[in-house]
Amino acid sequence: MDTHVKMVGPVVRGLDPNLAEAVITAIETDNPDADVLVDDQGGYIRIGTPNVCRMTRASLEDALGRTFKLHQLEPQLAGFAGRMKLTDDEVVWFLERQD
Amino acid sequence: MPRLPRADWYDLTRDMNWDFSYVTEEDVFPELLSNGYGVPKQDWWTWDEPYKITYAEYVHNQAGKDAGLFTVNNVVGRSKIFENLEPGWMAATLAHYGAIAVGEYQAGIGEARMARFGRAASWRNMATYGCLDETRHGQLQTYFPYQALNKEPRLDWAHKAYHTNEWGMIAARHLFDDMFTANDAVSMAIQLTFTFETGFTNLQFLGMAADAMKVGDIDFGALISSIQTDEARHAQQGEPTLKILVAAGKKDVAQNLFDRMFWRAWKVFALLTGLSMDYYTPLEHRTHSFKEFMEEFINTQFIDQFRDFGLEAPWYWDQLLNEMNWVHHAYHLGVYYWRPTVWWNPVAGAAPAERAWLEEKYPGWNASFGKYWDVMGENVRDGHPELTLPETFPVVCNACQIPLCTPAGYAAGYLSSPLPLLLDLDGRRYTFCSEPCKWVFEQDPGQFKGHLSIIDRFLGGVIQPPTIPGALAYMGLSPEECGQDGTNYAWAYASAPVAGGVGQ
Repeated sequence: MDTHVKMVGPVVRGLDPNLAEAVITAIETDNPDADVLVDDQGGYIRIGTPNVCRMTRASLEDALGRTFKLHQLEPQLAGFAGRMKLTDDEVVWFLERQD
Repeated sequence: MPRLPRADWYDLTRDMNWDFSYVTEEDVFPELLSNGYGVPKQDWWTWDEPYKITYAEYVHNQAGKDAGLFTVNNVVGRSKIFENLEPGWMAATLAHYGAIAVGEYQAGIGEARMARFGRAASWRNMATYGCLDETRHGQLQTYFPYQALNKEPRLDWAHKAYHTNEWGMIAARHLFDDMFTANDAVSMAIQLTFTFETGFTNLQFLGMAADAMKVGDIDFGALISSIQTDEARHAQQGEPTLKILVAAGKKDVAQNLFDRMFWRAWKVFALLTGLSMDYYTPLEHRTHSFKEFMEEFINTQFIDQFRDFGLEAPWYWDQLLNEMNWVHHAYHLGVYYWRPTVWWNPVAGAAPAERAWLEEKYPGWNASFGKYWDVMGENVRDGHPELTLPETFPVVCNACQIPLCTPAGYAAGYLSSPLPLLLDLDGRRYTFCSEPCKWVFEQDPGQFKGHLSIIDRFLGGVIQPPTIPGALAYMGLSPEECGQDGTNYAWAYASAPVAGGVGQ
């Protein structure tokens, strides 16, 4: 196995640009030490950071300017890299294995 | 009424596990339908989905998804978008609907089996959503093509294909039966929801969604990416099942289930997505090559996730990397040559500009696969298109059910022998395209040995008369439905681009 940087994070559909922009902004806010990768392929947008990617409900609501429950992400969440843990207040994508 | 945070009540409303007193565990979860692999009952009860959703939230989300999708669909239906789709893209969407739509209903049967025989209440809850999801996918992917039947009658293959003995559908059914219709709930969680849905469906449903948006087929792009949002949720049934097997010391079981289905999924997606991305999608709208999509979604994203549970890439990893260079090019040659046996009009995708792209993405393509297209192009230009059509049939693999392409792999320098692999078992001989396909068969011969490939049927007298027209009729293809060159051979007359890299 090579030792590439393991990028994790959501893959959102390209059909709701406002939400996609807000997700990018929220992830930038919640992962201040990471370079956030944004790969816009039109039909989908891959957003990621190395090894762990947090997104809090509070940051997403700030970015959207309205209340938003995290389960409402699903209609635009077409996939994700890494494993995912979703609670009422935040969603975390992560990988643990080092090699 | 005070409202508790969801986290305070979710587990309580979800977990309806109890001990049986009137019946045995085996009566409730027969091994054939739910192989527990010896993991204790209480261990299964720790099954915890990482991505939680209540039924009310589920219904709310799904209603919103369909409202959004049908808004697009209604607008597009009033436009001329469909009439203006290019022939290659039409081939890709016709192939998609036939190969996938009714298979979604079959996946619903699989989800229903997990909704009953999953070994924890939390799992059965997730699988119930999964069953509703797959029903939605079956309905959408038969309804969307139905709307355009007056423009392309063969869109009825969205419904028809699965019920025929067309060779590609035999391959798809063989795979889907192994993965869910004839599988137990626990193995299915590893093979369907983890291997297939967490991994491979991204290629077709996200990769093609990216291409669809560039082509301008917003309807198709919105449809398949909406479907993938359901998959992303219910595919997570794999992770907790995998974790419980690994924690109980059954890592070998999980690895074996994974390795078997990963290879099988690869073969079918090389056939479906490989052709669509590298040949059917119009050149100017291609995002990545099929190989690049594989590297992004499977070799990196998916394998990183799988290895995070302490498991490893499959034992045949080198063979996978090898086949990624050539096997779908060989499949495309075969599908084009045997085009009367498919329900769409394959485009060659071999005009000079397309060949330059293929050479860039797959160095050596011109000197290997390009040679076959040279000959077919000459035959067309010489006024003999009939020489680009088949007079007999290929050998088919008894595992993946796809024609053997070992001679093409050998000629292109990727295999050390053009010969197929053989297995003699219980008085008959089985033929395989690759070592992993033979290995898959040998893992569970009882599952596969009674099945007759399309060529077994042809040679065994099942198909009468044993001729090309007889076989086409057996496959459910009337002359009007048989595939033809999608561009009426325009590719053979296209000139090289001024700054092209083909260099003649």
